Amino acid sequence: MLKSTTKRSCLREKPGTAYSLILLSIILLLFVQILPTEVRADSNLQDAWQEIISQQPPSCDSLKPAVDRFINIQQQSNIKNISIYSLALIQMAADDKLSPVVKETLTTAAIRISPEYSFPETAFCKLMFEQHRYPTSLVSLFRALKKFQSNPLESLYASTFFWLALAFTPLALLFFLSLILSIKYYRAFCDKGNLNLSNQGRLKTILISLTVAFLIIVLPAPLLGLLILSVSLALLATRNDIIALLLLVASLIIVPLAYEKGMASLLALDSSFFKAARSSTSGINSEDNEAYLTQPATNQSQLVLQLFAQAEAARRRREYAKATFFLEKIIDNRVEIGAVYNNLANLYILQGNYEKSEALFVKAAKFEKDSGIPYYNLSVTYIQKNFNLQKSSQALAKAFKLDPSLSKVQTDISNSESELRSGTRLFFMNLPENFYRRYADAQPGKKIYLPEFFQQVLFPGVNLILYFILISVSLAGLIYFLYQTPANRRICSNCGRMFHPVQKIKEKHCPICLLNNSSQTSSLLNGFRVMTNSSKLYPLKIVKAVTWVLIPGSYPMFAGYTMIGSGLMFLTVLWFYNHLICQTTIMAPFPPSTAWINTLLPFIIWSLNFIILIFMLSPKRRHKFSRGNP
Amino acid sequence: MNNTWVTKGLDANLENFELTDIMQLITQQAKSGFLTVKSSDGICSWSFNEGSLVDFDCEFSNHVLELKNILKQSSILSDSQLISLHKDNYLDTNHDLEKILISKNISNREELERTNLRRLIESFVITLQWTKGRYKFIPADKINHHPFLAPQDVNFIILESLRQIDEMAVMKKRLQPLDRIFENSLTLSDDESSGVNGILLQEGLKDQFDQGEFEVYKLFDGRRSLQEIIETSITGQFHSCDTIINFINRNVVALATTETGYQLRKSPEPVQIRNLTGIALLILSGALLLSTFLTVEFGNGRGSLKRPTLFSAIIDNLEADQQMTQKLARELLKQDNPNQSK
Repeated sequence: MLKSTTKRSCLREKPGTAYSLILLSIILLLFVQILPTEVRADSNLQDAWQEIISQQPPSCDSLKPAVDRFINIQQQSNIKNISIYSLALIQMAADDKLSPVVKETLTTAAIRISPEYSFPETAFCKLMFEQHRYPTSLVSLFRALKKFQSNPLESLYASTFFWLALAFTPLALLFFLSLILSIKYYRAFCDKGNLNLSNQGRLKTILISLTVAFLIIVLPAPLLGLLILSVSLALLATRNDIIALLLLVASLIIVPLAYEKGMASLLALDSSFFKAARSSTSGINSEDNEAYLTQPATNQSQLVLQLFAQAEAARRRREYAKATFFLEKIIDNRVEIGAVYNNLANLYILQGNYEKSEALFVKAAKFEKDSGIPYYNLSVTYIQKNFNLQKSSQALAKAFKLDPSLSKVQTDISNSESELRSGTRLFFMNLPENFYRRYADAQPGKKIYLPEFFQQVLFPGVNLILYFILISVSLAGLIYFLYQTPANRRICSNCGRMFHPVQKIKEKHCPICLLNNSSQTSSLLNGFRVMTNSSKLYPLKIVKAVTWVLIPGSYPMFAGYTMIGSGLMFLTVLWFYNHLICQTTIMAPFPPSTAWINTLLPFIIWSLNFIILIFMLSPKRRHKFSRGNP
Repeated sequence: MNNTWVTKGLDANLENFELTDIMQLITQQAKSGFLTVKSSDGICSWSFNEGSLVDFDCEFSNHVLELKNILKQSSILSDSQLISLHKDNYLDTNHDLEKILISKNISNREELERTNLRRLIESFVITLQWTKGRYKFIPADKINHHPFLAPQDVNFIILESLRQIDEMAVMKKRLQPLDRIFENSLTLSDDESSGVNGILLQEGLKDQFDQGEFEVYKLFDGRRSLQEIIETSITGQFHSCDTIINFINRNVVALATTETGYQLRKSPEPVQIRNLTGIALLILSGALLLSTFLTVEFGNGRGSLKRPTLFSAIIDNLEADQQMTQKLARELLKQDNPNQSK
């Protein structure tokens, strides 16, 4: 955007001498006659393309020569990838009326046309899966994964996926682990309260927990709640569980850094892959795009460019709230540009917020001293706000003085950069031409993603230092409790009772459960009753049983096999993350959206959980029968 | 026990002449006879045959050392069983009882020998700590051997007892004050304990402890002080102290206060009272769930009414761009595409 503007202005300023015109004509002639590869390639490619799509209905015999011709032209023109045509072929293959063979031919052609991209491979993988050719599909998935991370454009998607996964996984894992452990240790807390707390102590505990809960909900600060719950659990947890909590809380240290990286990649995407696909009908990607849109921002100017581009995209779709959001982020980052203030003020007007816009126009005029646009827009604001003709005319006079051309544009309704609202025109501005030079060397002074992250998970105003302090305090608490906890502490997987065997026992049940399990039937319902150590099914016990089935790894956690439980839960959280990010549809053309990861992985995880559940419960039943029949 | 006090032999006060000295004398000179020591805490008699310890018999007011009591406390023998044994057999001495136990398969020889040796050492541990009292040594020609105790070297028993006394002093310091009351942390409220057979529960607990530890564990009922547990334990003072320290370090037992210990567990609504602390944990979990829901639901606003986040706004832009590209790709598939004709 910035570069195209610069080019246009350069052309306008060029002196139109006869000599230069002749020279230019000669160069253009030479260019057309000697180096017309791209242009001719375009026309030849289009002809070949017409040949492909003109076949109705398409057949393999006719498609193959047409595709071969298209690819020959592509290769002769030294064009490596033509992603937009690959996309079109994949869309063509999506037609249900086509035979499986034709679909395969079209998708394979898409791969050949864009051999360095993963999206045609992903489409091929999906197609093979639908046709139940699983080995081929799996091989294709691996190829797609390889391309996904090596392709410079798509790798941004891969990078976003990876870093956000790194931010999401520890948080989600700690969240699920804490909730499961709070069910597991419910009984232990009840018993321990009975042992150590006085009546006043119990009331105080309830009051403190209610206050903390209220704060956590009102702020809302889920991460704070998570840390408090984790440390509270460590009061009575076994060493294995405390170690698991400790590792997860320690891993939270990387969460903000991973989030920062992931969001930077996400912002840098700016649809770079699709923009490249769209702007390269000839197969040659626009260098303008790649110059600053295909990399995460490494300095302030790139960051602002990316945010500004996002704001413009949102504005064009008339999503003013989102456009406002992006521009506010630029101002939050302490970059003061007249165009940003002007456009932001316009967006406020479009949302009916005149109060804020007036001050912003004044600021815009301060930074854009040669432009009349802020004053022009200000005059509109006065009219819209309270029909103040005097102020409006003063502002308009200033605008016309600075930029006389503005007096003519009132009749130019077709101006593409204007927005109409209530019959009034507003002018939006581009970033100044010297902007890139001005901020090129400036490093981002402030992490723009973290304040939002902290506001979400903690509360407004938290910075990185406070976050690390919170984590450090939690870690210190966990280490203290780990040191205090006796190594032989056990929680009965049946009743949740805490006990301290002196001898090392293989059975993870308390003595009372071992005795109570002497005469049981083998029905599932009774099994749950036995597991929960009661003749009745209370709600908490039903919750426990349902949790064991629904949340993979929860039963091993209950039974004291923390590492097995954590492993299963880790896989589940990864799948859950993949599912969530696929819900946004931005990963639709890429490997994470394939059935292998989206459908088959959960099947494997839940099956594994079921097998582990059966395996862990069956020795218990054998034990029961053996004890019941001495 | 031989309670007849005779004039021959030795007769002295503990204050003047220590018990260990006379024992060493008996050993060195390979004497045979009975050594009896008496104080306000009890009386104990040992039989020597040519310097070796061959039998003993003791009665202490504060310590459980009698075989019958040990067997009853360790649930090997119940009161009813003991009464029936008395009815059916002539049980004049402990030796008779031990023989009957073997014949009835209630116990075995190794177990009885082990118990007797422990009792013998314990009798030394108790008596060697006495500072006041009298003792007498009566020489005799014919000494009966204990049927379930091998002749013991007195010096070994004395050294072992003195070692236990020394170490016990250190352990008792660690356990101070000894009037504290502990209870086992495997709590059972009234409603739960009613459903658990006491004998079965003990069998279950035995899986976790060795015999000595289990005997000590049973004494933690929330009523006995540490001093009482040490004295009444059938495992001996030294082993009791050692086990108690082990239990406290490993949280097998926990301190019971006067307000909350045993009395609270006997309250009419034990479960409801207990649940209060558990509920506090559930409140925190609920708050975590709710705050997470609020953050995810309202923070990640999608659409014009909700405040967008950076993530949602970028995702929306990407989606829109993606759709536009797909639209362009669809246009490529149209045969009369104006872009193509250009």
